[in-house]
Amino acid sequence: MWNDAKAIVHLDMDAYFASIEQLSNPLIRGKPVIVTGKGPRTVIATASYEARKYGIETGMTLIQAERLCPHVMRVVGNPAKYLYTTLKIREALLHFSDRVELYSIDEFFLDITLSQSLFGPPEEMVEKIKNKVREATGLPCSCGLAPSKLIAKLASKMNKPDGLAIIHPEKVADILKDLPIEKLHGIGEKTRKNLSHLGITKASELGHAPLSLLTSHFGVYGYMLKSMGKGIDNSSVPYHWEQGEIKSIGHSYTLPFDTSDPELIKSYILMLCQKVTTRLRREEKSSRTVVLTIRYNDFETFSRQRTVDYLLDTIYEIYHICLKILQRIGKLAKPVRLLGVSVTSLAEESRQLYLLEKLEEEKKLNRAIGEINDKFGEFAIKPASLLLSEEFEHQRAVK
Amino acid sequence: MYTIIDEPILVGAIFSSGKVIPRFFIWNRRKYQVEEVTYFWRSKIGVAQILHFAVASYGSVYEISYNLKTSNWHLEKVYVE
Repeated sequence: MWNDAKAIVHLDMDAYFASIEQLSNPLIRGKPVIVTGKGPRTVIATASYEARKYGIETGMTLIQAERLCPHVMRVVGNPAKYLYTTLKIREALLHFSDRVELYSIDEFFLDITLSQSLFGPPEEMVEKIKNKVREATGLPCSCGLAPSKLIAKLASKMNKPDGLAIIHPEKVADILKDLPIEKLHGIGEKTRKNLSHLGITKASELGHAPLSLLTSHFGVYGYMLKSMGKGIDNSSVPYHWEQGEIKSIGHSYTLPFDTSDPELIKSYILMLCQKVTTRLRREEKSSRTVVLTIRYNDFETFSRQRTVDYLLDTIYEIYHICLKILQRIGKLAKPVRLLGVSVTSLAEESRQLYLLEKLEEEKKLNRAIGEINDKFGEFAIKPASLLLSEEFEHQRAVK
Repeated sequence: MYTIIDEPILVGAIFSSGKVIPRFFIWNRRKYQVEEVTYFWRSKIGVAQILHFAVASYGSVYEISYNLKTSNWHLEKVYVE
């Protein structure tokens, strides 16, 4: 049983966005529903379980989904609705523990090790947690209970939807024995391929692999891989007040039509820089690293980044770095479908005064523009070059 | 299929204990009784807090919203089978 082991719960909402939309609209309950972005070229964010029976999956295009299920119902996603619901779930979970981690918009970790005196053994508590979430939101979730975050996350996927899987500490080795390595969270396709070239395809093989073999191929990451293969994960669930440190801010946009027009691409990048800057200012952060993401029309996607040794927090500073990245990439190989701009290496907002009057004025102007946009809505004031992308969208819409 | 409406409407609602419960709304001179509030959420536009309600009425589902800053109601969209 648990003895001195930690009791960690991973909670994963089932078909989250689609479940919320079906709860919100009784007319689409029990029917195949997909939640997507706005444009015609969007991809599927979530599919209801009814839609999944037709083979519809997250990441598919609208056209692919409609081919599989012509009567599928499409709902354009509503991020504010989902975020509000996530916060309600978090509130419900805080009833059980003050170690609650919002892992993503539809996933949480809870450490319930010390809550047993109040709510009973972990096996009973996790049932109460599922019921509490359904009571608070009307939504089903799947939970995994295990002695670590790594194994709890594995467990929550085992009996979806509305499921519960419990892996006691003494059973971890059995679970890992024949488990394909790609089922372990943190092992992506590239790592899986590299490990399979070494003859490692199961978690137990990874745990038994010589450390020297793993570190020679993966460097320091080899240590972590070996631990994962053994089911060892010492990462903790933070206290809910400790979480909240934003690590990156980014926005991406699927263009209404694929384009190779460099001026149009720059205009959209500028739009994304404005969105990123707005959020940076709201969070009172600056950054040092800018990441530009490009997806071509054949879905080939890549990112390039640049780190500077000064703080960035204005739209033009970030845009300037994006242009440098674009310059380094050179001529784009194919038409572009999606662009993304994000900033990382965040720091507290730079409040330094600039010796050059022009720079100081620019900073003040940017702050003022940001405050006006906050009050009257995004892009109430915007750079003139954004008009190019807006005109493009308008003309395409009219056609 | 959802149809975007985005029009101002008049709403009869109960404001009690910090909650807002819409009871009926008037759109295009027709009164729609709210049979059920199926979902509720909040959002922000600029500094304005917006309360959103998904409501069922006569076989259709409507999304209406209330702007706490301007005290105005809006019909956002309607779902008709």
